[in-house]
Amino acid sequence: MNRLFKRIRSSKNLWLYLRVTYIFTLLFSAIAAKALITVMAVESNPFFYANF
Amino acid sequence: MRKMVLFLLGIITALITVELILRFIVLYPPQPVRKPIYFFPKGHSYHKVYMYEPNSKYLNIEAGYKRFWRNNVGIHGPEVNLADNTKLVFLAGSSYIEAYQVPIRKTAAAVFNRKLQEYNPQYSVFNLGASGHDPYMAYFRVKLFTQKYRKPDKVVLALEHLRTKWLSRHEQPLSFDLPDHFGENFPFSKARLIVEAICSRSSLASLCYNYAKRFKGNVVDDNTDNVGSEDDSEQVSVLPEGLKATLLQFQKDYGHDFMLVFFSQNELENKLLRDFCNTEGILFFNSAEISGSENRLKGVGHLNESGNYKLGEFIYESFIQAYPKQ
Repeated sequence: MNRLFKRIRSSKNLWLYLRVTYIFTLLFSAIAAKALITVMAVESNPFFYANF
Repeated sequence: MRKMVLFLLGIITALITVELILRFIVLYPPQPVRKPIYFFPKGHSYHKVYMYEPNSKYLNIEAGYKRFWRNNVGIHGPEVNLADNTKLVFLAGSSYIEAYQVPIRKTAAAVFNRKLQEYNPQYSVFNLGASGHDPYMAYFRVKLFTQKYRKPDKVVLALEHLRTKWLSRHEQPLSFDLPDHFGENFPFSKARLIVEAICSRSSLASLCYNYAKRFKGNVVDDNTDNVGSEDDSEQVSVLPEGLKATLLQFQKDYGHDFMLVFFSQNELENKLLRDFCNTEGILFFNSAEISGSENRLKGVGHLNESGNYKLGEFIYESFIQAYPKQ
């Protein structure tokens, strides 16, 4: 595991790609979570659909 | 340049990862493909409705975080048999009839359909209940599905309230003439078509779109009025004129093939409606037991599974009483 990590770190391109993927996955997940919580809070109102 | 490409690749991978998490772990469905249809002429509160693609998925939060499916004609009801010899029963009403909160097989329409097919296999029930629809809009929904499929053999309108407040949203006196372009596709702008196409393919886009709508000041559509919550304590001393006119129009169009089911607990509303229907010769059935708190989600919301079962059973019993086998 340690060797694999070292190999990944030694490849600058792969390391950059994984870092960007990791950071943006966190960012998009946070946005999606915030959106989901808001949508759920609104739609849990029994008569939310009355506004159709 | 290489860094830029890696950066973009990283963002795309992140987007795909979040999309997969939302779709397969969170189970948030993409927005179903839908067609906007002309419903009311411009100038009225609602001027279009959406028709959804058959078997599309949707999420409902009221009864917990649950995903449900629409049926073979894109509505939340039992599968519809469209064979020529089938007798179609249109069950119209509001969100109580649409019953988005329970699986299709447990909706009042499905219970009614099941029992009715045991009674006479030729019958098939169309669940035309729609969220936010008052009786006047229910009338146009019946017309819309008549135009799309064919004239129903029977029409059942099921109401849980008199809907005085909702009926007042429309221009008075109510007009029952079908507007120009009624039932035709409403043209979306190109930008809107692109948004719809992306949202129907991506859970993440669909979620972000639903979230973004909160900031626009309305919840679902550009052309809807916010009617607020359903008001259970709405006090009435007379029947709304709009309701009377709508019931008379139903009777004029369908005669003895139209019946009204009312399941409010309000004794005065029951009496007013019963007296009116008796005077006008409209088939009327009422039950005050269905909308009790034990039959509602969290005691105050829409009907739960038990409430839907009781309603379906009551509609069936009323139906065979109105139309006994000959």
